[in-house]
Amino acid sequence: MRTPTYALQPVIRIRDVTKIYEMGDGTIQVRALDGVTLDIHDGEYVAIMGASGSGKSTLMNIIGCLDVPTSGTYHIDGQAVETMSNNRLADIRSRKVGFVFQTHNLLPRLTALANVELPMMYGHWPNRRKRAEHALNLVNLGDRMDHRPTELSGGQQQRVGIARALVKEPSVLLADEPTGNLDTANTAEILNIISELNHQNGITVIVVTHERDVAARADRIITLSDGQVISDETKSSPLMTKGELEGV
Amino acid sequence: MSPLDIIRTSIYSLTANRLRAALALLGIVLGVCSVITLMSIGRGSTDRITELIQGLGSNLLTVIPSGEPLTLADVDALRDPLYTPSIKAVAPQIGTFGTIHIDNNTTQAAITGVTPEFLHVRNLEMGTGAFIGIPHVESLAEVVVLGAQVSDDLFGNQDPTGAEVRINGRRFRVVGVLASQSGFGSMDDQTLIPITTAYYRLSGQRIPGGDISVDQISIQAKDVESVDQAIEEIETVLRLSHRITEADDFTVFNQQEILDTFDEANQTLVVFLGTVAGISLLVGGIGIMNIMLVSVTERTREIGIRQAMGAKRRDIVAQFVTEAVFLTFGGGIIGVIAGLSLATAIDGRFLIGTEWSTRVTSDIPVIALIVSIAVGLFFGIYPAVRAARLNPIEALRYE
Ligand SMILES: Nc1ncnc2c1ncn2[C@@H]1O[C@H](COP(=O)(O)OP(=O)(O)OP(=O)(O)O)[C@@H](O)[C@H]1O
Ligand SMILES: [Mg+2]
Repeated sequence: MRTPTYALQPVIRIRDVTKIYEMGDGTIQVRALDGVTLDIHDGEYVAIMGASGSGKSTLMNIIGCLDVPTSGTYHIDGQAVETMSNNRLADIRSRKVGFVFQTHNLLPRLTALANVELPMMYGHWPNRRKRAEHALNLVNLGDRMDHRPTELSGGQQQRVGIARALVKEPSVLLADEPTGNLDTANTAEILNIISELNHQNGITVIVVTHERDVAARADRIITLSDGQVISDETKSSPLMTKGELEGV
Repeated sequence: MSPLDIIRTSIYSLTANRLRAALALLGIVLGVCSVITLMSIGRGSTDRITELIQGLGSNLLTVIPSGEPLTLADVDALRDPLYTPSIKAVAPQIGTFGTIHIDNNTTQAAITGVTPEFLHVRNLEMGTGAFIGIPHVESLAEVVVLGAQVSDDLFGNQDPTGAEVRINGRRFRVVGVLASQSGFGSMDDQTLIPITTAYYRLSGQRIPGGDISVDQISIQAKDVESVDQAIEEIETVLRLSHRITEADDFTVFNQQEILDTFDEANQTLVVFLGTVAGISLLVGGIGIMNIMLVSVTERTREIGIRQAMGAKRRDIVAQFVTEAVFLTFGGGIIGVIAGLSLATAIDGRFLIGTEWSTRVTSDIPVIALIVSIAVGLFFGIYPAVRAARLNPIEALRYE
């Protein structure tokens, strides 16, 4: 059991980040993110909420190094993402962050096991099979390893996605509406897995959700509106966040 | 990504759309198959020409008139060892066409009037019977030696020696049949009669002075080394007897030169065949590129997922290039097998009016395989780089 330790340096340090999408020959500009500044520390469990189109996925994609901001800076573990080469970004995607997509994004012709092995293949990991089996057991899919995604239920596919994200023991787990299409039982199961990863393995978790009860699991809830952070509440906790410390 | 992973991933992708992979493969198969077949045909015909040079003897010279006719008097002058010490034998010929028939069996044949020297000057062998002798020539005898094919047409399997045939209505007695020869320059469809008989009995042409004019004179030099010397001697003798002061009224062909010309023409053919085959391989390669480009577009989402899982650009490039090389290498192997089978199957066959001869050498399949792999690399790289350039998030969003 690891307790969250708020190191001086945040895992994720976002400063005045904007993401502008240009459409129709640049005549229409969409400010998906509009001056977001955020620090997320090691071991935090953060929920991101906000109306549809408020920029939640855009923010997650930037945090996950799948996309780059139009302006502003983003440091992960103290390293500036803007200055990183393509290869370095790929390395971060394969080692540091685990991404759980709302739409699973599993490769349809690979078995659950092979899908979970995928990030380890690109990261040159040893003992891939063993680790993948272990990860699938963690999400209670030990008996579905040789199934293809189409042979699994929606909840099971989502759990394969979680296994794939956690198998590389990421320092940050990003989940974009991981329970969007699931029933209560499945939602609870997946949230339990995520909570466990946060509490027991000390993995930093960022979850995007629309649902209050999903967000309730988190220690901190950030709300976005029109690409801006409109609220950032930390639940009463024995320790104060760095921001609160500074405010004292 | 380890090489094994790359190979596994490529196989996974190729088996995802088998029909498409098979069609792309087909283009390469046809390209490689035609390269192998055409190259084997090229090699085969080069061989045939070399064989021909050796068969005819490279010490054979041919003199044809180009103005004044050549006559038997010229032939006699050329036979004089005092003037032509480098010449071994002289064989004059008169060529004409005629109808040969027995009973109601008729065939058209080239009829050549010859002297006894013709047999060894042209490296011929008798199948049955004897060749035309000096007495036949002196007595204008109506005797004939048949080529193997002519004999077969008229008499089937029977030995025609002693039988009578009619040539342009005249009775001739068959004295012998030539042994069958294969290949180019064969005498199988020829009919040989004494040169005097051809002149007086069949052609009816005469020149003033009663000398017999001939169409060509085949001359055998003593050996290969004395060919050039023999040419000089022939030119000296004929210039003297024709009293030539300016341009020659005859031409001397060196057999070697004729065959060199053939060989040159053949080389041109080989290059042409090679180009055609190369183009078909190129078309196959473009087919591969086309398929790979379609596949990159279709698999945009897959590429996005792989990138999100940490695939580097080089991993994506490696995957797509390997797929293309697999296709061309697989197509190359099938093409080599098909090409070798085809080349072996048509070897020695008589098809579309020609006798085909092919030679398969081990370097041909090796070259074809290397080229097909190179085609895969060349045409696979562009689609692969395009795939790797995709932005992960856009790729993931692609529908
Ligand atoms: N590729 C794009 N091109 C143009 N505009 C885009 C693009 N992606 C997102 N947007 C716009 O950016 C804004 C934020 O989108 P984003 O996907 O981050 O919203 P979200 O908060 O995740 O919404 P939801 O809850 O519906 O998933 C939206 O207005 C959207 O229209
Ligand atoms: Mg979203």
